[in-house]
Amino acid sequence: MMVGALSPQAEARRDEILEVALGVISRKGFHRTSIADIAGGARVSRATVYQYFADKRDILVALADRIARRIIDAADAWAPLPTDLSATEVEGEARSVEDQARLMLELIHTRVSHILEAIVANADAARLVVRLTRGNDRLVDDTLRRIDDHIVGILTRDIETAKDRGWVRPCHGQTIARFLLGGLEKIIMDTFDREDAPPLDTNVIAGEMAAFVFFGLAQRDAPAEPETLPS
Amino acid sequence: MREDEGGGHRLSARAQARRDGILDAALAVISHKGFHRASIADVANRAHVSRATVYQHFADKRDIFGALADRIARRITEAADAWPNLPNDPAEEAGAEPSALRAAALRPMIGARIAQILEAISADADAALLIIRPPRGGNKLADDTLRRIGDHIVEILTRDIQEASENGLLRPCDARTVSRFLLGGIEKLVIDALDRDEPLQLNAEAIASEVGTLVYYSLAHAGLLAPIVGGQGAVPGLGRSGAEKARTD
Repeated sequence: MMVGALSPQAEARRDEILEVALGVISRKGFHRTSIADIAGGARVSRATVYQYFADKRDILVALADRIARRIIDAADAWAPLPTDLSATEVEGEARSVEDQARLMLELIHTRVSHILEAIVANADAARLVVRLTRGNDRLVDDTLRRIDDHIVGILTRDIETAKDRGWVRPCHGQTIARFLLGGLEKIIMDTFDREDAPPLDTNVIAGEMAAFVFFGLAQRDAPAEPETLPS
Repeated sequence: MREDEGGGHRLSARAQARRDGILDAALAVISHKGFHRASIADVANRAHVSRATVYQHFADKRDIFGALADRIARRITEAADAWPNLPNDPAEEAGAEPSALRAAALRPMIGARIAQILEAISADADAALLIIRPPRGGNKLADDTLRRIGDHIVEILTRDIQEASENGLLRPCDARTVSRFLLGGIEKLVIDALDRDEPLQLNAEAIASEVGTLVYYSLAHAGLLAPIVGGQGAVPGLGRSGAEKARTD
């Protein structure tokens, strides 16, 4: 609901109220939490809370928005793809193809890890938002879509760049990007949404995803039609 | 009514057909007018039955929504159950290099599975859209339906990937994580297509081809694939041993 930039001081106070709200709602549940509880926890008046948020739902939207911004920031902080994978190492020797492959794999692994870390660092808020609002709230849906569009844009650009440099086989970059994001989202959503989900093991997930992306997209030296393989 | 003359089984088959007809009519009306503006009278008209007949089968509109969700879940899970098994040659010694024959069968089979799922969804695109954009109050039911479909498909995929890895057809991987990942990716593409009002029928082929190729290269055992090459086309091919090394890191 906030329009226009807040002063750094107001921003800090708003963040603190959000932090307290998250704690109280996680403990008491959304419906049993009152604005008075949140104001009490944040040691501010109810009027102050209402200065920043119209109601409890608005707080939920703000939490979703904050997660979105953190995830988008993590993606924006991705280092650009190197222009030349074979660039010489410190020893003055060009990287072997094996090393280039390893470098590419590491690069993908790092990117996936950044996203996962941003989510894990905000796990309480993410869980709350997903459980309370999934599919129920237009504003939160819009927030999720904003993350989607942003990350699909970055991924598509990366895939197209890597294609131009001959690292990635010909493919439809945007379709692949949406597919990859969907897969990652599924694993994350399941973790927050259901009781029986395995914990979010960022290492396993980043490892599996990096391998999947690397082997799935790497440029290969011949059209690897299985029909043409020698027996 | 004439239906009363039939035996129990014939009657229920007939009633089943009528119930299906009402559901089809309801879907058409809801897709056209929206859930909240669609009335039971509209549904009855469209199905050429009386309102009383509709009420014989369904308590209310919400009940119809539930039945539509249930029907599409059943159709998609049945399509998944009808998937043939992955190619497997039991005569082959464990650890032996997968034969070219099995390699040749793998690619079209992956493509076929994805195409089958997309077909089941696009054949029922209006119902799928109703689940993806449920009417107010229908969120929980829609979520449960999506979850039921998803869990079923993840189970099948996990089993397939595990077996195929054991057979040396696919590379070693965490089958359940990969299955959930695959399902999420396919769901994303389908939901985007439905949500953006793109004609899914037209896209299904392109999606199946892109995703089929991706999954094939991503998961096929390195022994089945051509070597990976580095960038700029100036570096020699990355051999299988290199790919295996990168894979185990």
